[in-house]
Amino acid sequence: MRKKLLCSLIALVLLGFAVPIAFASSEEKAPEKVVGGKMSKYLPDQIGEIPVPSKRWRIGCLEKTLINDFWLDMKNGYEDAEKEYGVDIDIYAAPSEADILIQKQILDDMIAKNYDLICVSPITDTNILAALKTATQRNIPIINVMDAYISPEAQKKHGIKIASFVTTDFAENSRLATRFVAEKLGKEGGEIMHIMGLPGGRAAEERKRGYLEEVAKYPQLKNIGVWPGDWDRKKSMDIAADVIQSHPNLRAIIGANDTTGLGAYQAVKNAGKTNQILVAGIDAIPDAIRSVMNDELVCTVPFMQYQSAYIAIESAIQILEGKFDPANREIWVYQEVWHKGNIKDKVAEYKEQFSGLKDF
Amino acid sequence: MKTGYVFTFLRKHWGIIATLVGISLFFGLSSQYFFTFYNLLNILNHTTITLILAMGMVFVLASGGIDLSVGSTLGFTGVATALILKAGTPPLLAALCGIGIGALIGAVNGTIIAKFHLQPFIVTLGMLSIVRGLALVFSNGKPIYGFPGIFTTFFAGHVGIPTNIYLTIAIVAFGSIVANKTRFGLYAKSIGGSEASAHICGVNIPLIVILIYVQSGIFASITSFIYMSMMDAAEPLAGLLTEWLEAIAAPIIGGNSLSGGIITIFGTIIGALILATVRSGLNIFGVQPFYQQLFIGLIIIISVIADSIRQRRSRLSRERVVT
Repeated sequence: MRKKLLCSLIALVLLGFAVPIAFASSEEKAPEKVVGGKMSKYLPDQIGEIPVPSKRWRIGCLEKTLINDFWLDMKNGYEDAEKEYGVDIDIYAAPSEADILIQKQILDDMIAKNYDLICVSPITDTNILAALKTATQRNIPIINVMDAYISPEAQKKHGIKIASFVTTDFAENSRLATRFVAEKLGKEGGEIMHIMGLPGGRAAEERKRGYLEEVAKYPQLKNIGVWPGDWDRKKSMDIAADVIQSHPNLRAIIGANDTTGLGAYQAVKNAGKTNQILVAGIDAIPDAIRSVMNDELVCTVPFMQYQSAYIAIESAIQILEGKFDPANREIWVYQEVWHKGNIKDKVAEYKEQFSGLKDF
Repeated sequence: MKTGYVFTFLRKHWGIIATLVGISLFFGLSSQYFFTFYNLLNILNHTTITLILAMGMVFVLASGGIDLSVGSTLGFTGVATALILKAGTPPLLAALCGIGIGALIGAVNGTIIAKFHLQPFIVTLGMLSIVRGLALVFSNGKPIYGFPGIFTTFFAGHVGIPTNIYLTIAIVAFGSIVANKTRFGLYAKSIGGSEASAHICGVNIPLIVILIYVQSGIFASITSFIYMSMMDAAEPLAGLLTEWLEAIAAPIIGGNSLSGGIITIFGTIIGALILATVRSGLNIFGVQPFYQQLFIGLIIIISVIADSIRQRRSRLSRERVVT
């Protein structure tokens, strides 16, 4: 009885493993015709020509998770680049953004597979340092894509070599939004404010810095202050409502992200000042895109996560083919402002790349 | 005589041994990257955190209890020890403080459970939340970086093989002695087997229950040292879910019972190895994380079913003896 039971249990477990084999084998592709040997699709001026891969390089990509649009967009970016350039890419991710240890263990396992190169998006600044050290010891080149950043000091301390860091400049996000608003206000200018994210976080602090730098370039703009909205819609709305009361001549609000901007816009609407005050957001979430289309938010700045992943693979090929220019140790992905005038075209252009645009 | 012992041992554990061997063979035959020294070491390395937490958990389970708060205790003692280290305290003293904090959390758990006769599930669930809250409050929600080299080298360095593997072997050996050779191990099992008979035999039940949760807290704090050394950072979110779930799953897969009365350290080791092997194998196989969750869950459920069948059979055989 017991033997039978245990036998059947084991059989069940093994049967369970047969399912992924079926999946895995169906995913294996015949080698495609190699294209390549052309200019980078998104950053031709900065990183230049991508050589034709001399073989089907095996690249392992570790994302934070796959449970929201942002990381799915990156996955699309990796996979489109895989098809375009004829390399083999495997994508890994932790079950959730809280699984910091699991992400490290996944990277340990990826290293066991001897990839030619590994792209990582660490969940925190330190959670995968130990595994990256092993990768460096085994001479696997590493590309750090987006977000948590393995600083040169951390690299030195832990014996890690990051070949290239592909990311978006948070400060540039808010510089662009501020510049757009400044130009919209023209010579007249006026009072402007920033509602920042949760103080202390990199994105929040960098976007605040970008705002302050940009405002300083326009003498006609008067910065009346930066308030912490903690990325929260309600809190941002309350702050905006208070400031509108105390500064009746306020002309513009730069939100640290779309949620913040949408909260602020609600306050402007409640005060009946939509004609006087311009509100900008950042990130291009679907709500914000709708809002820009409806002439509410004046602009938003998309994050370009798809492009980051795509560019990471282009950079990977350059590294693997020995055509990498060390000047590109840090690659800043290009950015653009989406406003009423161009947003319809932009949505059409990026529809295939960003999951959030599917419904437009 | 000796072969008789080996035979009994094998008969008791052949199911999980066969499972582990089967899984390993399966992955080994399907991927050239599986049976490499690096990867086998990896699996051992990944087992350490689960196994040390599980060492505390087996005694809790043996007494018929459960400790859901070990993950949070791991997170909080990590943060607390990091703050103490950062204040310039010598590493040894800081580690002792960390262990003290872990023991204190366990003592609170045990005292509430023993003195108020409450369900361990509810008490430790509450503690899970309280201690996680403390971890977030003390760290402001942000990781604390950078510890003395001697600390990180001791708990997650590399001397031939990762030092946490040596440490785990020592702890498991210790746990095995406590479980099989000491009164504490015996009492823990007897409380889970039958609290009434344990009481009649003169076991100081409240004291033993408190000690059981204290040692669980201590093991959680030792785990936190390894965790923070691996990352060179104390993360307030460390041990949020997977770690403590596996700390409960490993003993159960290994043949410890949720209703108490049993301790099998060997089974727990195999249970932890099965979990780490499956995880690593699936990663090497390139199976998406969503499917992995599914398989791990499947294995846990199968083991719990096996556990319940085992219990029914042992109850039946007991009744047969009585009649």
